[in-house]
Amino acid sequence: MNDRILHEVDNALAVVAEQPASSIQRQTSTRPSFSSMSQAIVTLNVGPNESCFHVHRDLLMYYSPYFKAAFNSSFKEAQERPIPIPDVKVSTFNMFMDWIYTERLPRTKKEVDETGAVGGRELISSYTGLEFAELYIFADMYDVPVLRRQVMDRIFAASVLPKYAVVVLAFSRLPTSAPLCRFFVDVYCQRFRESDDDESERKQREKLPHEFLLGVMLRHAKIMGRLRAKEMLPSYKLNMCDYHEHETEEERQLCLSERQPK
Amino acid sequence: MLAGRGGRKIRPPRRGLHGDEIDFENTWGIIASAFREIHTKNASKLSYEELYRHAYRIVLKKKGEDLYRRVRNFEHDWLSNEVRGTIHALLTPGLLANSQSIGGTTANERRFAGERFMKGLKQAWQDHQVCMSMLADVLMYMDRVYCADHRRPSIYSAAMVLFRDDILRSDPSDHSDMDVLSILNHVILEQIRMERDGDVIDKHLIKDCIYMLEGLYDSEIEAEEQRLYVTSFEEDFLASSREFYMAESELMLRESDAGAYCRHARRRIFEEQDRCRSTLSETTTLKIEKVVEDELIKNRIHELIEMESGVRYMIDNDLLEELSLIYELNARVDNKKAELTRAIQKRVVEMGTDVNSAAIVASQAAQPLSEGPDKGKAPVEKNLNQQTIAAIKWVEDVLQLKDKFDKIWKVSFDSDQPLQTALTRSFADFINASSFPRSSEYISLFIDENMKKGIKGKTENEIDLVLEKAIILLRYVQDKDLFERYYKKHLCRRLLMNKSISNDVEKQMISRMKIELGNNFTMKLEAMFKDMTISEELTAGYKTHIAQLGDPDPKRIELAINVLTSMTWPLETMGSSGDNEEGKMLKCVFPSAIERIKKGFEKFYGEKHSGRTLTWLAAMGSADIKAVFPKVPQKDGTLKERRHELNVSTYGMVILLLFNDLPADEFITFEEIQARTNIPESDLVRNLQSLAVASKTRILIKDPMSKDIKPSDRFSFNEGFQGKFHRIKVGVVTSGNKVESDRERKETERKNDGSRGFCIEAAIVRIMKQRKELSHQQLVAETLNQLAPQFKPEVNMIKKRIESLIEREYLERIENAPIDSYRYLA
Repeated sequence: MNDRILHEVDNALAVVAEQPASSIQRQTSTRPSFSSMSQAIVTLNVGPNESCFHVHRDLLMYYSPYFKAAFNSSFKEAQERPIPIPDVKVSTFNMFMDWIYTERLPRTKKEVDETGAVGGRELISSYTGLEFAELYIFADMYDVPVLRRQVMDRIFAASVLPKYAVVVLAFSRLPTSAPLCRFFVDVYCQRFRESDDDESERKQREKLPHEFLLGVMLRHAKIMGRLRAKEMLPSYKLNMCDYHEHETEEERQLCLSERQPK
Repeated sequence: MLAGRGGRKIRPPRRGLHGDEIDFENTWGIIASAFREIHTKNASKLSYEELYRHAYRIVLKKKGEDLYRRVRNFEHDWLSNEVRGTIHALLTPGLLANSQSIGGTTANERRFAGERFMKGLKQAWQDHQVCMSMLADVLMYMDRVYCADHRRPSIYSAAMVLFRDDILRSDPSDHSDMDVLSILNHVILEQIRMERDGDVIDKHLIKDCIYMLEGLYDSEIEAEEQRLYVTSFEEDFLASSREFYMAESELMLRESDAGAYCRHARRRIFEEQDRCRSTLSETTTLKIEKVVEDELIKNRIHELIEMESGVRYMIDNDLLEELSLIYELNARVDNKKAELTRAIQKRVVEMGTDVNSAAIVASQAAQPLSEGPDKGKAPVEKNLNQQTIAAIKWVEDVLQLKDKFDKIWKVSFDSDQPLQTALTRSFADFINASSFPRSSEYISLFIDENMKKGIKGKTENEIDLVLEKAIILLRYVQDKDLFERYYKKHLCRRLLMNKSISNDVEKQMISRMKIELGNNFTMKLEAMFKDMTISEELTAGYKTHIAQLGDPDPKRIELAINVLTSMTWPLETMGSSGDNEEGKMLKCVFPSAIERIKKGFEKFYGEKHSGRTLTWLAAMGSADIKAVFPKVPQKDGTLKERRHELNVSTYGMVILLLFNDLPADEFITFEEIQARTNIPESDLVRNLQSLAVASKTRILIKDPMSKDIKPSDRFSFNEGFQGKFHRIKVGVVTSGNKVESDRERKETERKNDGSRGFCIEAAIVRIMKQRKELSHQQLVAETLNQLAPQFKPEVNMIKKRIESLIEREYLERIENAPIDSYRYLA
């Protein structure tokens, strides 16, 4: 890892840290406050071992149309509890629980080292790209757009090449059109160097999904074309908004202007 | 470091946790059977989480396309097999037949069948919506990922389209081309028709069906104007409403009166607004309003206004409420309210013309013998008096008319500005009508009458009201100069004959006219008042002067004098009736006593103002004479000498003084009197008529006794005169202000035209002095414009004045100009 990349990473992190959560999320309603929301607590049985989680129902419904439908509809879930969440790892759901009450993602060891330790010890532990990717997959399946956005921004800000295992996971559990998959393709095109792969990574190459490789190939061709046409510089940067689920151009412009450092 | 390369070793994801390979057919089977449960309302046993996960997996495994198609087919089959039949079963032959406009069933049967049909359809639609929103919840991931990536409509929208195609556009019977949708339209329209006819219908049920039509679109584009409500229903609704109201308006016009029609039309509009709110869609409100307005108002407003019970009837009977309805309706469809304005204007002019005609009839009926100027004087005088009454009646009638329309305007027309303008124009139209040239004179006479008698005993407020009335009418008068001429004449008489009740009120009137018509207009009138004041001072001054002379003559005659500036006062109208021009040249011969006083005053005046000539106007003065009549036996047998104080005109005095020196049994002939006094013949005739013919003031005896005065008549002193009062006023008939005879009026107009000539010339010169050069058209236009506040000159007259100015070298024609133009010559 060279210094330039590190520098970029720090800048990007700094920029993200400046954004208040409320301006990043574009949601029509406002987050329910404890003073106004229902005190109903639902029990969720997470993972194959059905670990119990208790959580405010209104928060779930606010963040996720999935949960909203589950609690509002006339299906079994409307009457019967607990609700099973079988496909999710407990550690991932722990992150979600932390997030749903704080709208904050856990910080990495590096961040803590640089800014000084605050918060519980769990936050400092070993969150890796894989765990963030799993959180993203959870947010995709259970449709938590605000969380998707924050995880995406965090991964983008880290601005490093994900390990092949993470790529494989993302492409197997997300639609190819998912912003995270597109980002992985783009970031590989931008900065992958043969020499980055060590032995174990090299062994993983054969598992790389077809869609990922195809994506890299097409993107590469496109970028080469634009470089030749001098439409862009070789030292181009990726745009965070390309991985946001903006519905309109105005939304995108607003997001761009909000992210401009003052 | 976040997920950096070369860090801790990461294991590849475990397989199996998510069941990578799935059996699509199996999974779909599970989903489809769950959907069937949902459609049969058995969802409470289903696990949302499981179904969602199944659909999620299918989409993740890139089978979204298959899933989407399967769901659509499932819904299509469901609607076609399970729902369509029940809807078609609700369509009784009656409904089908009826929708093809074939009768046969009773209204009640049709209505019942229609309601059942709508209820069934509404139920099917609501079930479909509920089920589809549950399906959409289950298929949320497919909507978000597959539909978004492949630009497919959400499964919910797709299912709505299916309902439209499989149910609404299905054909219930083989032999008709009516689909369910058009039958629904028809049923709704029929229900609305029932409601319009006064029935009570199930508004909620219809509203629910309307919601359905509003929720569905005609094509793939989900735009407002593509809603089935707009494309299928609304047009039919508007067309059938138009038909309905067209027929209704025809019937109403035939069978009810205009007031009822208005009320009905207004109610219909409210009803339709209400219907849009409660039964249909608010987006239709403006459109149906327009239909009702078109059919009930716009296309009928003319007929409505012209009805026997229309605007004319309403005006004549002061039906203010109905007039306000008409106004409201007309204003709805026409900002300018053209039809109402036209009808109102027409009626104003009609009624005004009636008032004018009545005045003309009154004046003509009263003047049957007045063809010859010399015969039948007395009846003419009497008739003139009646004419004055007619004039005052005319003013009162016009004011009454104005009050009437003012009230209508205020109460019924919401004080509408353009209507006020129209009313004013119509009033001006009939007041200035060429067939009725007397308005200026009549208005002036009205003021005259009030100044002399009318305001007696009235409070200040009441007087104000009278003055205001006069001003109101004056505003309408176009030829202000003609009015000024009459007003001066009438004012002149009032002042000289001391007929005004209050000088203050006179001055108030002047200041009102000043406000209304400007300084120019009242300048000369004010000068007249000034002359009167100066004359009072002169009279007093002369009295003191005489007293200082120390000539205490007990028989001295007292003199009150009015010195009038000749340019200010309309003296020519003060003379005789103007039929003998030579009469004016003659100077009346005064008796010596009078002549002495006259001389004395001339000397006195000459000392004060050198260089001024005094002309004595004997025709305008009056004199108080103390007369002694011989003793005659009284009722109680005693003899008593009678003393009377006679108030006569100056001419009368001159005539009577002739008899002072005459022995009682002698007489003087008419010709002798004329020769000795030099009084103009017509004045002499009038004065002798009052002194010798009028029964109450017969101070002279005429021989032979007849009404007419002939040159050969002889006059002698009436010793046996008997008067009831000590003071006797001998009125000379011409001394009052009366309506002019036709001949007099022509004379006045002629004079007026003369002075107009000067005004026009003055205006032309003013304009040209400023502009130097001007085209003919422009000059005429500017002249008309400048003179508008005074009068409206005829263009021909302006042309003549221009010619005259060119002759006198004020102007010249510009040679070779492309259009006629003039240049000012300094």
